[in-house]
Amino acid sequence: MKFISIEGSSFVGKTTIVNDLGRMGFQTIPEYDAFGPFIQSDGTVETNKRIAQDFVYREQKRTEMLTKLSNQIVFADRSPLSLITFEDMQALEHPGEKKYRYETRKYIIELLHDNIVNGSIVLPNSLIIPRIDSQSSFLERVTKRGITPVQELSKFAVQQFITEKTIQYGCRILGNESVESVDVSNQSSSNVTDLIIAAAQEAKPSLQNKPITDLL
Amino acid sequence: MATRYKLLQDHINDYGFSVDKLASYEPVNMSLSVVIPYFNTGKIFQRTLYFLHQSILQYGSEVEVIVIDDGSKINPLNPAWLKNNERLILHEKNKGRTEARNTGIASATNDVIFFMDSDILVEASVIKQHAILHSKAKENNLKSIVISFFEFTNKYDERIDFLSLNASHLQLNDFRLDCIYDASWIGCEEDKAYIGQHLQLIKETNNLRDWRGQYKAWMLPNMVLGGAFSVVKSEIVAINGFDTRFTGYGFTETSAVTRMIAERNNVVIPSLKGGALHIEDEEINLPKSQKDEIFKDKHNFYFNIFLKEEIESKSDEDK
Repeated sequence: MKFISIEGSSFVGKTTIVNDLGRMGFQTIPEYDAFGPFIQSDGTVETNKRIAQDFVYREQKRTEMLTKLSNQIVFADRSPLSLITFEDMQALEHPGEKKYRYETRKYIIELLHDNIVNGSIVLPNSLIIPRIDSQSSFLERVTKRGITPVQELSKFAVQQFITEKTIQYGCRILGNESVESVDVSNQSSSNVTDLIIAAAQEAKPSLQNKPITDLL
Repeated sequence: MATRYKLLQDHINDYGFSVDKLASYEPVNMSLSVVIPYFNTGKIFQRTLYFLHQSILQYGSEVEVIVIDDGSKINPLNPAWLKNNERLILHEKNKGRTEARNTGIASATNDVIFFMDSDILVEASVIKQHAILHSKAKENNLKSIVISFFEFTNKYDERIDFLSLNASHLQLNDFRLDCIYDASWIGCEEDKAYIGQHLQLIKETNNLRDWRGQYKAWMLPNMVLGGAFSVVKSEIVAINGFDTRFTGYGFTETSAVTRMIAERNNVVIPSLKGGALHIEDEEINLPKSQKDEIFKDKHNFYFNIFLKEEIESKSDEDK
C-alpha cells in the first residue's frame, strides 16, 4: 500500500486537496479535528502533554481507519510529523516557552515511538508537501479565510519555517525519494490537485525504517 | 437504393495510413466532446472520471465532458464528482443508453464525440490517440470512427485505485484482438462453423484496412463496441443519432455505425496504442446469461431486418 500524507503548514490547502482526492474516489483519512474538539492549552507542560496524548489517541484512530482499507493508495490529511512541527513552531513564536515546548516535543516523539513499535500507529510511507513560495499568494489565501493580512504578514516566515522543517524531518525518517514538495502559489484548486497527483506518482514508498526518535 | 447489407458489402475501409506509425504525429484543430451515459453506476464512476481527466490532461487541449444521468434511483450521480466546467444532464426517467447518448449528441458542441461508458477506465493516452486518428483521417478527406480496445476485469481489480493508468498496465483481452470463437457467441446457424477457431480479427484484416463485407462471423460495424469509441459529430447527426429501435443491451452502437459506414462512407480505425479497463459489475450490469438472450434477439433484428432495409446511400444523394 502507498500511504501518502499531505503535510505542510497552515493555509496551503491540505484539507481541500484531501477532499478533492476523496471526490476522485481515492480513500482518504481525515485530519485530527475530525475526531472532536481539542483540549485548550493553558501553557503548562502538564496540559501540553495531555494535548499530546489526545493527538496520539487520534493518530491511533486514524491508523485503525487505515488498517480497514485495502486500497492501493490512501491519502491522509497531515501525519504525526505535524505534532512535532507544531511544537517547533510554538517554540519559535513564543521564545519564553521554548524550554517547555522542547520538553513536550520530546514527550511526543517518545510516545509516538512506543506506539509505532507496538503497531498502534503507522507512519506514512510517502509525504507530499504543498508549499507557498510567493508571499502575495500566501496573503491572498489568508485573506480568503477572513484573517487580517497585517497580523498574518509575519506568519509567512512561520509557514516557510514549518514547510522546511516538515521536508527535513520527512527526508530524515522516510528518505529523500519518498518526500515531494510542490509550490502551489497562484494555482487554482484543480491545478493544485493535478500537481499533487503528479507528485504522488513521483514519490516512492519508503523502504527505510528509521525510528522517529531520530528527530529528538 | 440499396440495402444496408449491400452497401456494407461494397464498403472499402482502407483509410490509407499505418495506425502504428504515428508516434510523432500531432493532431490538428481537433475539438472533442466526451459523452457518458450514467445509470446507477455508483462510486466506480469517480474512478472513470479520474482516469478520463488524466487522459484529457495528457491530450493537453480543452475537452468538453457531458454526463447524462439516465434517471438513476439507486446510485444517482453526485454532481460534486464532476469538475466545474463539466455538464450534467438529468433524465427524470430511465430512457436507456441509446436516448442518453442522443441527449449527449444534442448537447455536444465539438467536432468529434468520444462515447464512453460509465464503467470504463481509460488509459492516459486514449483521448490523444483518438484525436490523432481523426486528424489523420481528416487529412485524407475521410470521416472516421475510432475504436479503442479493452481489458475486461472486475470491480476488485487493484488497478482501479492506481494514480495513473498507462499502456503497460493493461493486458488487453478483447475478442477483436485475439479470441477463440465461443459457442455462446453464435448468432445464427452459419456461425457454428467458427466455434473453436483462433481469430485475430484486427491483425488478419490489416488493422481493418482490408475488411470487405462479412469477415468470419462479423460485419465491420460489429468491431465497434460501445465502451470507448469516437465519431465525427456531423456524421452521427446526419443519421439522426442512435436508432431507438435498439434501446437496451446489444447493437445500439452497431446500428448507428452501420449507417455511418454504409450510408456515409465513414471508415473504422482501430486505436492500437493504449486502451481501457472495462469494469464488469454484475450488481449493476445484466448477468451474462441475460445479456446472451437479449443479444440473440438483437442479432436477429440487426441481420434480418435492419441490414435488409433499403435506403439511399450518400452516393445516391450526390447524384
